[in-house]
Amino acid sequence: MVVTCPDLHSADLSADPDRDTARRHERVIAAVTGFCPDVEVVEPGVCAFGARGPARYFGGETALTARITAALADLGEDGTIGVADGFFAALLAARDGRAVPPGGAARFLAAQPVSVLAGRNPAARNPAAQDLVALLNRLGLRTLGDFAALPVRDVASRFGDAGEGAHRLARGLDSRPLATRPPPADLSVVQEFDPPEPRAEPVVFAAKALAGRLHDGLAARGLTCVRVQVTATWADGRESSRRWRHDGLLSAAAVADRVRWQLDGGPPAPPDDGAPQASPGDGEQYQPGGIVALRLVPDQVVRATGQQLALWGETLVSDRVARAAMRVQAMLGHEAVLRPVLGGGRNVHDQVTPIPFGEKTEPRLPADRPWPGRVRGTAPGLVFPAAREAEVTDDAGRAVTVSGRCAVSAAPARLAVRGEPPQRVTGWAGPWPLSERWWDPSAARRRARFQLATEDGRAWLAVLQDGRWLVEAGYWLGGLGQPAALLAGAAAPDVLGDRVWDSGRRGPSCRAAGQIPPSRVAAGRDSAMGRTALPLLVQLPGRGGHSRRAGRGGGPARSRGTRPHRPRRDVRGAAVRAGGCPARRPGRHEAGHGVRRRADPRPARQPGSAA
Amino acid sequence: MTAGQPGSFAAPNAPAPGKTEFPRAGPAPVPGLVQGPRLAQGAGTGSALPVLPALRGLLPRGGLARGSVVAVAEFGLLCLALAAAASADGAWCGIAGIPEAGVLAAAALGLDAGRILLVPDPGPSWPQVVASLLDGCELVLLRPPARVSAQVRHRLEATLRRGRGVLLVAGDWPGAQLRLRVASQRWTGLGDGHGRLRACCAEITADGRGEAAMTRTRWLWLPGEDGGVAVADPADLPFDIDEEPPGAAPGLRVVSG
Repeated sequence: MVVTCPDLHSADLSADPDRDTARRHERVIAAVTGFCPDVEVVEPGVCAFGARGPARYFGGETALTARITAALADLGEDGTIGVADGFFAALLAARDGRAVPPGGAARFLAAQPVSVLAGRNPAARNPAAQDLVALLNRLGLRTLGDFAALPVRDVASRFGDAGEGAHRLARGLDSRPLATRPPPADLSVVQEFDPPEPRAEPVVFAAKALAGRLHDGLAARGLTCVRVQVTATWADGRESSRRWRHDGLLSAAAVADRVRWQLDGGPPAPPDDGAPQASPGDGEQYQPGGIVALRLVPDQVVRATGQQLALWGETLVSDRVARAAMRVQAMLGHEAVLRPVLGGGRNVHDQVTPIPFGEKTEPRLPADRPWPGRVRGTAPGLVFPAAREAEVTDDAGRAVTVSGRCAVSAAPARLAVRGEPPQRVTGWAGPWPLSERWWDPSAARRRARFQLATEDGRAWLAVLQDGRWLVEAGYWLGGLGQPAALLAGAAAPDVLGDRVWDSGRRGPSCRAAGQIPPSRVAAGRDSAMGRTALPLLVQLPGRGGHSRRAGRGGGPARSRGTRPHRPRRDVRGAAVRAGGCPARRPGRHEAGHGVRRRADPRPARQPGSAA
Repeated sequence: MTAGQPGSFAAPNAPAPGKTEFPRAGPAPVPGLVQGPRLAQGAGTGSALPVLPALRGLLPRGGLARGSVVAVAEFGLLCLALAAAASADGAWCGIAGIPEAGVLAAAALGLDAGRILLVPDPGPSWPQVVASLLDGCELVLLRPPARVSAQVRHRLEATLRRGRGVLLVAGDWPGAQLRLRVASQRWTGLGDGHGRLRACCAEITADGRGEAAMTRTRWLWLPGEDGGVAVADPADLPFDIDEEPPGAAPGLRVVSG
């Protein structure tokens, strides 16, 4: 039986920007599949299936034809149906919607003109068919019956392969059986919740059992899946669906974890009204109505070939590491823990692909290509996630530009990275031009790369793109008194001069310490003390055992005696004496808690005495 | 200037010794043994994680003592170089709060990129994240937020001592057993419009508490011309040491008092 839809058949699918025809075609196929599952889609608008079984089920070919026609009419499609022995005859019969009785195919075909062999029909798409039809017409063979009457051997010797194939069609013998494909078995598993489940825990618990069923079903067929699609449906019809990828088989517990992460995101916002959304993290408020169904669909099903581990040279994720990573993932989400994969590429960002822990580690760009045009040599120790804006100017203060012929307007003299003070450039190299993906307007970029060394000992990878300077990466070893280090030094609680260990040395903290003494004079010291003492008060209740021990007084004194901070005594002693307090004073903030507690009242007393 | 227990590497402000387990100092490891080949997983059981040979002179035990905090003033290649040998030896390395960590440079220094876990943004619950990472990884590289309360620090240090890992802090950590600093650095290879970055000669200073109280200073090629780390010979530097290094700010030497 052949069903054709002339509208869809004649439409040119490639000239259909909205894919509207394709969608209509898909609907028609779905409707026909409702009558018979084994349907061969021959062409757009033409499908065929074996009619014997469905016809018997639906009470005859006529009844079946009537039902399919009605189903198509419901879709607004206008289809014709032909029934005959063999695909070619049925296709011809479908042109006028005929049903050829069993055994009548040869007679039906005999009356057809030979031009049908070359017509736009799928059974005769041999390009030589046009020539054959013209030749048959010139020989006076007007109908298929005339042609079929010729002996096979003569046809084969005179007309060759194409003629023999056409001869078989004319005699009612099909060139091939229908290539129907049984629909894939439904391997998905679903758990319904009635009444709807408002809390996450039962859903996650059910997900574990559900994942076990999914794996059993797959294993029974010798299959495994690359991804699992988790779909949760809420009572109000909202649906959250997401695919989770994994490098091995997702265990039941891993699936449950992923269900939990997905549910933590809450249901997607409804399209019409802005109902409050469940905030991430609180598993108690899945509103409104709770979850009615949880479905796990295996995606990208492949044959289970097992996993062969290499003898060496392969990095195995031990259970300990996996547990730690998954715990962090449970706290922060699936994408929070990444494993870097080294790949290829011309820019520093392209060369490392971060992949969420647990997924298959494949670089975005293959590493085994030459990648001409990348910056060679030392790799930068810092690759900024987002390129930082910068200004590069020459001696006269004008912005440095690069011409289309890759000539630099002037030697770079100053580099001002946004957020940092400008630096003098002590050495530079470049420009190294790169014109990438010029064939793709959305991804195309032209850029010139420079390496710049600045007077503070650091070096930068700067890029000039679209007239803007960007700093993509930095080459340096560590802090040289950068603002961050200064900040850390100033923010450290032990501002009372506990930096004995770094006095007399060059370095960032040294500079930070060098700036502190002004704050150590009488007025500033109180504020410094206050800052030291306040957090200590707060931290006491947190460690019960400790404060008790501190109350005895002996322990802390002992531990303080072993502390290496004697040289500080002078400084503080003098300051404290000026305030009228005994010199015995901890101040060091790693000191025992009890000592600190005794020190607490002092800052409150001192302002008055100092004044 | 000794810590609470002679030879102990535990923080002196730790809870009373004996109640909790913390690693006792063993005899100084023989360098050859520390570097010896081991099976993957579990970079040795010694008291210290191995470091690159050129960095051994900076560290009191020739390695990163397990259970200790090592602070580097700011994130940079030095942090990655410190982690390199341990990672090559089979240790997992977690990197938390440092989204700009250059994995390519790390791999060039010897880190195994396959044994790196990146947590670029640990968020406000970073202490829990770091504690979790310390459970799985022997080496965790962390850039803490600007202000870390002493309580959080103590708790993390306690976790650290239980797990026999090493916490490498890129930033300030007042209780750190060892602090490293780049006193000066200078790149070579860049000319005036020609050349490319080839090597960096840096003066690294290490000090700390306990065994590390003595200040150690080394000149290193980090990275050297071949991409590795090597000890630089002060007599053989490409520039004059006495000349004011480019990285040193004026007035740095006035620190007495």
